[in-house]
Amino acid sequence: MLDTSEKTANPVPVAGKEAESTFSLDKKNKNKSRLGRGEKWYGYLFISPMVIGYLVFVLGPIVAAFGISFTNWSLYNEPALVGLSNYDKALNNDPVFWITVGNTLVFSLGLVPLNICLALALALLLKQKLPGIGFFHTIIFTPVVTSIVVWVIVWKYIFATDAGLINQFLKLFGIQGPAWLYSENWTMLVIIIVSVLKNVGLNMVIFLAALHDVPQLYYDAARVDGASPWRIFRSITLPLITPSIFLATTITVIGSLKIFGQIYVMTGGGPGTSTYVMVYYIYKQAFQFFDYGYASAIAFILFAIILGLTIFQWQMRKRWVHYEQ
Amino acid sequence: MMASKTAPDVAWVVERSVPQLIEANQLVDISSLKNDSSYNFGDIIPATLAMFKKGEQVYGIPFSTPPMILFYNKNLFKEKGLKTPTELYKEGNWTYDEFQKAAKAITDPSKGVYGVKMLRDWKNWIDPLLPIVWSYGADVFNTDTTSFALNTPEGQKALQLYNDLIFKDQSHPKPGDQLTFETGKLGMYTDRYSNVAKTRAVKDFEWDIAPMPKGPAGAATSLGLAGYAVIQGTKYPAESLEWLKFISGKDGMSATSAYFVPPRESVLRSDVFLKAAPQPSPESIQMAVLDQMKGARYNPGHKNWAKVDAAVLTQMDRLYTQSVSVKDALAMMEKEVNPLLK
Amino acid sequence: MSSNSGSLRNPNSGRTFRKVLRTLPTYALLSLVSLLVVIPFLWMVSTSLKDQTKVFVFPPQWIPDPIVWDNYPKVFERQPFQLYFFNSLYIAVTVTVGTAIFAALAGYAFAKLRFPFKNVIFVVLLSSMMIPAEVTAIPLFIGLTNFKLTNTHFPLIVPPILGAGGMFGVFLLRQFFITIPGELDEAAKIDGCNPWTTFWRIMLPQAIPALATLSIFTFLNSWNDFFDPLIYLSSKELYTLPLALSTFTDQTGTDWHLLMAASVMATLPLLLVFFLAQKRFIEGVALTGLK
Repeated sequence: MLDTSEKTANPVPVAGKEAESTFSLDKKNKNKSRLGRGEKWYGYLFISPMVIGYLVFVLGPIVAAFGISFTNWSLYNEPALVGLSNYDKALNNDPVFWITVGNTLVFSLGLVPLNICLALALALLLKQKLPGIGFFHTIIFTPVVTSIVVWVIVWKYIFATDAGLINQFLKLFGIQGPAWLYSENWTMLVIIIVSVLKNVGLNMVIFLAALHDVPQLYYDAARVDGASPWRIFRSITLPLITPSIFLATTITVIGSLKIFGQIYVMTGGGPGTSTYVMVYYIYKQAFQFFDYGYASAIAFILFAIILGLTIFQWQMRKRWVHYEQ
Repeated sequence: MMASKTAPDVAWVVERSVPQLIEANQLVDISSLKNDSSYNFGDIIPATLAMFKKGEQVYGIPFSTPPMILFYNKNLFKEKGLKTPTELYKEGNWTYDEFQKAAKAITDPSKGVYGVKMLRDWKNWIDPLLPIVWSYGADVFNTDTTSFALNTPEGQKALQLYNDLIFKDQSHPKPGDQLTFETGKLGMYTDRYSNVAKTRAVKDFEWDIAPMPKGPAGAATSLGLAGYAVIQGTKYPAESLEWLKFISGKDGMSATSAYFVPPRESVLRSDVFLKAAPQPSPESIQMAVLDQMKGARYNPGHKNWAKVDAAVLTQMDRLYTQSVSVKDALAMMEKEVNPLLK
Repeated sequence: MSSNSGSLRNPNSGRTFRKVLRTLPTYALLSLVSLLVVIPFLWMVSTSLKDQTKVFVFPPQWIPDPIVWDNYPKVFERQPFQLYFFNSLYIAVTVTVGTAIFAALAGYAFAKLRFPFKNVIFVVLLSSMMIPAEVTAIPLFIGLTNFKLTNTHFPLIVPPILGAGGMFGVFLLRQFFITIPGELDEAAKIDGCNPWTTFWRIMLPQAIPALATLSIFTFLNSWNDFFDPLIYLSSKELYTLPLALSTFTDQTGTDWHLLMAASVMATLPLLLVFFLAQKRFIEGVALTGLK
């Protein structure tokens, strides 16, 4: 969908029907030339609040943060330029930094496929017109509207060693549950699961909407041809919803690289540094150690990673996202 | 708040961050209180002021100096036919050995009962460790807090005891656990005296307080320290000082002494403090709190405390996940912390 | 309605039986996931009615005994909860309305109006959604301090509307407006409407479903925001709900029973509104061409 919308915004003369409509638009424009020029000013006017907001609340701070990343500013002393030393420290002298990068990527790689596949599976199930289906739909969506603080606090309690719900449940079967939040192996997994459950409802809704849009006649035709359900899914459903999959994946990837709340509340980055993620590290450096220069440098490295990944995904989309003619 | 200049005029400051705040010129000099006759500055126990002074200048007044003490569940001790910590203390026999034995005896996995828990929050390593460490003759830092001092044989013994309680004896809840004393599932619980506020609400079992056990180097406990200070930049310096005078004067401290252990001699020995509530008994308070305060020491502070805390916690976590031995953990701590103390 | 009923040899009942059997895996899987999602809420409610000493008993108590209704009023004793509720509410409403207006305005312009550099500007603005809030937080904080705007609700209202949060709205509305046929625009122009009138009278009413969707997102984000109130607000009277919830953990540990009661009260209104509005919400997602 995104593709075709760009074409409409910038009409390019091509052969055939499109060319005709472009020419007629041009004629209309010539007649209303004064109004056309006025349109330009309206355009700028309408976007001005957003642009001003961007300059003041986004670009300004970003530039300032960029500047700060070249200083050694901390809350209690005056900033002094130190060139690239913050970046150097992060990339070469700080093993914790690379741990955070690794943890962030592990989290993302764990969360995104799980989230997308589960959301898709749920959407497929919920598409069916069975009694009571709306009930499940609502339930699975409710974590999305809950505050992350509330959600995570309850799960922290559920995963408590020994007296938590899960380990008490396992005790009934004679199994000694591990220290879920104090184990180098399990803690990240717990965070991933808790995060997936929180947001899967959102992607599920996006997929549901997309599934509804697949014309029924394709399915009917396929069934007449005797195609198996799996074949139908792979050859018809899947290709037609790839734009949604792309959108959901991009949003989920970006979000997963920026997680903070669940780490802050549930593990505080621990045990040790096993759940230190980049944004948590930035927070710690800035608001606990008051090392603004270093924190800003790390933040920019994170931004570069996100930007790179997003551009990469955007380029890849031409390969696998299917747009209807 | 200080960064945004929206801090209140008078604030409750935690002792650990006071050196940092004094360095950064965030607190107002209130040394004038020393000469105020109605204030009775001398009534304040001198040792409690140490953290709030820089040289002869005073920057804050302590209002609560609760020691770490032991809360214990009388019912659980009785059930196992054990002598209570109070009884053992009166005999002169309240040692860490007895402590460990009692904890083990009380632990009952089938009922989810543990012998002892020494912390409230698994991110807090200093409160459970300091009393043990000191009573084994070791310390976390050297006297002027310029180097890490726990990596010694005594330090190792102390940390090993703590580690054994959790993993060898299994008489201490495992990391990640959230049990509290009020649930009646803990035989013993160490915390600051101020926790009585919570414990007084317990109706299901009998409890009492006792001093911390003694180790090879004697009995030791740590004193928490919270103080009032006037924040730099206040628009009402004179009024703030008056307010501070009031709440930290004899009457003010008496009023808060139900929960806060007052650093004023006169209030400490008064009925207002000792008879604040039916539990614990004045006798217990005398034993567990007043008698211990003389020899107690303060939690250390440092202007780089946040980073030191994080470095030590990382190694403690490795102990908690059993990925490293006590010896190696201490060696790592020394390596990581020393550069931060310069 | 067949006259033969209950006979196993009846083909109809056989088919129905098989049909039911086929739906079983669906229900099973859905039930499993729903259970995982519902248990935390059930536990939250259950704990909110427990006595302080019973919070961690083993085996766990699902039905509290005794039922301590008192926890709820106690929450209000501890803090002026209704004040925090009100704060969260009016902030969220203001942000939602503000975002709806400005995002629709900009979204329409990017979708329908023509002006130089339009696409470049759009992409640049879009990049703001990729910056972690923590990067801009510090300089923003310092800047707002210099204008004496910290410890007010200003940082919780204006930056979300005109910053990265609002940008999401612009993106959404642009998508939506693009799907509106150009003829509508042209017709309006011929009738002599300037872009403002076109927008106000014709486009905006069309966009109601998209705006509804956006509003739900915006409201939720504002209501659940924790980080910004955390760093900007120091006076208790200005606190919002998530911040207030975090203050139940203090020097004396966490009062789980009170914390859960407060959490229930903070979450319930949202859930109710959501139950009532969810149909609209799904429609909205579909209509905005998010696919």
